[in-house]
Amino acid sequence: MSGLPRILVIDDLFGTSVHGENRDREAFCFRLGLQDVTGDLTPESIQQPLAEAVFVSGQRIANKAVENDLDGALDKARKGAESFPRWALILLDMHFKTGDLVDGVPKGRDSDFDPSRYFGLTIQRELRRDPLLNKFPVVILSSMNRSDIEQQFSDFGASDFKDKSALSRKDLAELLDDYALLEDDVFAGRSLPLQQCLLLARRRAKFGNDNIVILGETGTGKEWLAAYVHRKSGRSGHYVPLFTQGVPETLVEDRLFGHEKGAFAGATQPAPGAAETAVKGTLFIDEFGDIPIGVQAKLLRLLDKNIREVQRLGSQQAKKLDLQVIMASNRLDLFEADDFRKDLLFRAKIGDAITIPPLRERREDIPVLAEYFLRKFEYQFEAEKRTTSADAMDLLTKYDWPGNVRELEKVIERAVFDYQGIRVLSASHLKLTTEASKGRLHGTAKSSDRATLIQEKAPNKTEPTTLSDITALLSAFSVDKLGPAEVSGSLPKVEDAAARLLLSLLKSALNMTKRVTPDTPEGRLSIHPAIKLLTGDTHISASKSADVIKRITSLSPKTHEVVMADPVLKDALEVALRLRPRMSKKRSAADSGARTI
Amino acid sequence: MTGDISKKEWQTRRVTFNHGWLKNVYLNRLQECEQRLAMRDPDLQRVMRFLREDFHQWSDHRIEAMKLVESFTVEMSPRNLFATPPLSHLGMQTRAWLADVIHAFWVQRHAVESKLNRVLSAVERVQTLYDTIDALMGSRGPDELVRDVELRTKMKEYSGACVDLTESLSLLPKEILIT
Repeated sequence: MSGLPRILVIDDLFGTSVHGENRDREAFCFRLGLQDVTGDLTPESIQQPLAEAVFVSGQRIANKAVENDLDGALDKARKGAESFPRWALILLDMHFKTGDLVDGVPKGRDSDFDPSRYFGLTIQRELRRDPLLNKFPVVILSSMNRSDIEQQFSDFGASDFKDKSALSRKDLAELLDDYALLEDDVFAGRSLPLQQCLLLARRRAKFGNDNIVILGETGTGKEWLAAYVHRKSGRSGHYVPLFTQGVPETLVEDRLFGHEKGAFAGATQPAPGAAETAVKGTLFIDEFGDIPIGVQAKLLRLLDKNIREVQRLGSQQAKKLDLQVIMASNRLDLFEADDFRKDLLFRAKIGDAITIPPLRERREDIPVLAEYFLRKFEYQFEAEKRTTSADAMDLLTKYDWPGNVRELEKVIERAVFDYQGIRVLSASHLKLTTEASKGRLHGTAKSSDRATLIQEKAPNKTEPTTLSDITALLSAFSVDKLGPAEVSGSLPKVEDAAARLLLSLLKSALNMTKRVTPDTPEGRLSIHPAIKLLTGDTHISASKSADVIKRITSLSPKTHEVVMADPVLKDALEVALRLRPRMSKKRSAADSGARTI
Repeated sequence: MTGDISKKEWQTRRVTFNHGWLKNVYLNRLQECEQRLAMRDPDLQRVMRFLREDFHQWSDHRIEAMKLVESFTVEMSPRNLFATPPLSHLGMQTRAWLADVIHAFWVQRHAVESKLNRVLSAVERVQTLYDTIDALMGSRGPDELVRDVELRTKMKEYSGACVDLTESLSLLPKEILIT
């Protein structure tokens, strides 16, 4: 696959080749930067093409006369709608000439010239009626007068009308950007729901300084989409993400609006907030549904795009800003929620929200995403490159993914980390999050059972699963009577406390799994069962257990001191070091990336 | 009021000329050639193919363009409505003066002369540039020709003149209008 978007062009003049030639199609392709992949002639190789094009005449010859062929045109359109590469866009001619052939060209019938009976309109009406084809954007490409058919092509859902002879390469690039279903290099996936979501995001990005709301379940990639909108907006400033979930009200306000010197105890210097940092760029507020009610009122002036003002904490002066605000939430109940201002929702334009479909509604993306994550983690862990077996892919594509893309990423990360030397990823390597995974397989459980399972087992957004999660959670605790700076200053201590907590859990696990023998009545230390108990992973190898111990005991310089002072932990580390004498390069890379235990 | 014309010939001829040939075929190929000439290393074979095989199509089609201009006032005038019912039922005397009045009114209201003059000027401009390019082609060999800056400039102007011609033709009413 070339990676270029593929366009279907339904046009009587361009769609027919005579003796393996079509001068008009060739000229059209050259002018617009289209690589002809129809396959009926040997096309010129276009330098830096914008798209691939398949040309269809929508006609057939019967009894030495050219007749319009609606079924043929629709069949061709369906082929590219059902299989990859899919149509990114359909360009549709209006006026199709029929009748007896004179010098190889149809003579034309009176009905061909009647705008209300243009064959292009008939095709478009049928494209609109078809439940699959109506998902594809159609642009009218005609040399005829648009005013004659303005109403009809609008009624049938065409996105635009372009004069065939005036269309340039630049125009085509704009058409693709404005209407086409395109894949993105960063946002992996090629399903129709995702591409429609990306198209909507691009169109919204074009408005530049408008507010955009992104809705979607946890793990669907709302932050990715926000970054995508920023990239496509062409705004020159920075993309500034702000995460407010679980952050105390005063800290949210400070992070958002900034503060002046002396605004609170510890505010020794003035500091801009995220909104000011995002000037000329994009401010992304994640989980805006969790913004404290007190801050919501102050956010109103920032969200009013005619005002766009912020006021730092401790300042009497409001500052006007030029920025785009994107807000995301997984709360689809905000209109009913008591803790959210309705006027803020209107100002945020929640009615025009972009909704990212959950992974279970775009299963076509799973193979693409799985491959993307495999390559990412193979590189990160310096692991063997692997192919995906049919059973593994089957499991991946049938699972319901309640944690969406993030859950898929974790599963692949774990599979690569745990099995670094293998060259085929099989189903046995995939540790779907719960015992209930079998029940969550799409189509294997009753839908009501599945729904219950998803509800029960869906990852709790506040449940810590990694060290990073724990520290994030701890750092977000509200500490009464402390200013932001004091809270921030305490973070290293909080991290240290979390590391000590892990050490204490490890010690408990080591003590609980000691093996008592006649020779060792006090119990003999055994790290393998202890780590199995600690991680809940009954398949973890002894060497991997040693790695986990080395990791926990080296989380910070202070933890090392604690370990050395504790005979149980010290013994465990020595056993681990005997099994895995040094920190491998692979492990270092893994540690620098994801610290999942 | 518009006439449900039995005479659609003029409109059909215009569509055939303006859309079927000028826009869909000639301009498409002309703009391709213009774009190729603008490249650092133009494809000699393809540029010459246009100049030899397609460029001269204008001399044949110019006649059609002129016929469209000349026949427009006769074929598209509302005077024609007096030849068919219900206006044909009027008395001969009434028809004579009323048709003249309606025709004069139509000419003035739709700025027919001005629109036709614009088409004529466009045709003349296309013809002048066509002759210039034709002369350039006669005075240079293919290798020299594809790198000739003057040809590139004139081709661009020629393409612009052709676009102007299509636009001016599109301004002429497509139906027989009485109001």
